[in-house]
Amino acid sequence: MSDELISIIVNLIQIVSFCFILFMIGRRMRSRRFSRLLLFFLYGIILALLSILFWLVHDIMRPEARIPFGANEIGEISISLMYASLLDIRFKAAGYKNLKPATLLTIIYSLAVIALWIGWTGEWIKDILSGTAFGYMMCMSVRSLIISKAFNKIKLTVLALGAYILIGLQGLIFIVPENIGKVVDILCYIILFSGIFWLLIYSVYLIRTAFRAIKGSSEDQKKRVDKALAVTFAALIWALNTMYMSAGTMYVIAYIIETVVYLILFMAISAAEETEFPDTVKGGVSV
Amino acid sequence: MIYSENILICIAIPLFIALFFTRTSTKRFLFAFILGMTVCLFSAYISGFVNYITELGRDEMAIYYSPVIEEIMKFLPILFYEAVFIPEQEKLYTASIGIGLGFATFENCCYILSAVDISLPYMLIRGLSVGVMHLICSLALILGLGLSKRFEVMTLPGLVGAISMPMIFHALYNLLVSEDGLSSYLGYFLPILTAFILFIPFRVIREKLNNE
Repeated sequence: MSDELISIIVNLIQIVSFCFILFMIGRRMRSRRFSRLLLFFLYGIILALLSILFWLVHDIMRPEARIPFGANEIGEISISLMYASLLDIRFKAAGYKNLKPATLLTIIYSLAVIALWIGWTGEWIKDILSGTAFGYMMCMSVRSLIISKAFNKIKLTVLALGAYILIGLQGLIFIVPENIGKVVDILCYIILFSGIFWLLIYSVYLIRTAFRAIKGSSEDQKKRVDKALAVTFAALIWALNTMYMSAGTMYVIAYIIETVVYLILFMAISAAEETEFPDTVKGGVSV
Repeated sequence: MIYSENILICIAIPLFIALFFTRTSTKRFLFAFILGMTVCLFSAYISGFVNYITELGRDEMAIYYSPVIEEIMKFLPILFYEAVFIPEQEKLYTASIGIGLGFATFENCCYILSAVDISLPYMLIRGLSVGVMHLICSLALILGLGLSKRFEVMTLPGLVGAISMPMIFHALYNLLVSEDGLSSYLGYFLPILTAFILFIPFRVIREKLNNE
């Protein structure tokens, strides 16, 4: 099977899964109240769907042309902003005290990611704008991980170390000879896919416990849902990083994983919608 | 060679005079319609300028940059109306639809006059696609804005999210119709299909937003 055909198939799979998520959101909105969380998630999914459609059609009609900074990129920036706002809405109430070191480390990491993107594509404006929005989303994700206490310090350190080692290794590929570069590349893939599978399995586990807590009307249901939400978003960001840092078959695998993460994310958002939280608008629109 | 300004003057003057003889809601729609046509003209100026700077071809310009420019230009008067006058949701809908339709009408008028030998079936298709596409974009924009307002998220992400949806939709349409053949048929069909899909959810959400 040719690479183009595989690319089209995985794109179609993602389109179908986004349509399914949209259908489920529509059903949910029709039957009960919804909060800003679901609204922002809905925006994000519609934008992602349109963006993928654009990519797919562009790939088919103009396979040689590279997409310059335009409507599609603005859409992708919006997705990052939407998800960052979603996390902000959910975790703002807890306050952002004692988060400066973590935020600073994430900003440095984001700058390194932007530098890498520029190194790969050479498109300064596009990468700086997209990278800034992506960095903002990463900052909010790290904050939510700390606030929700989804990870203990050791796990959080392992995650941060993994992310920084990845950046270092990806930077190294630019300067080392090609044969060594291939070894470094394999190392990167090991870290990337270990990380994503770890986050994926952990987020599924947390969502399961969150739904159990909701059904059992446990007192700590909000805490459990928060943990699930924070880890699923971390999984999404890691999946996106995995996609950006992969090529060929590995890219296709990362793309499929990203689709799965979106489905899990919808479950996490649904769980979050079930819980009462202060930021829900009183008498939210019930359609 | 046609002068777009002349066409604008021809169409806008009678509408402008009609403003003095109509009731408030009609007046609002007429004014928005004239504004939509003016916005279309200014968008063409800006697109021309960007085209000059970037040196892109006509198709590339239409796919990558024109949707961004046109949707931002349509969004600005709506945002101004919303921010300064804080109108009711229904008034905002009227204004938004007026701007979208004015834009589409002016664009079609200029197209008819600049192109030679266009068949009637093609004009019907164009009317149903471009006209509906601008309408859909305006409705998506106003729905996004209305929901952002309702949920008190009139922040940068809320606004960027509201404007990005019509932008990508517009870009997708332009991409599909940029080449003849199957893709262009899909492109022409896309706005009608979207209008059909969005009709019921749009009406339900709109009524809910108006009632609250």
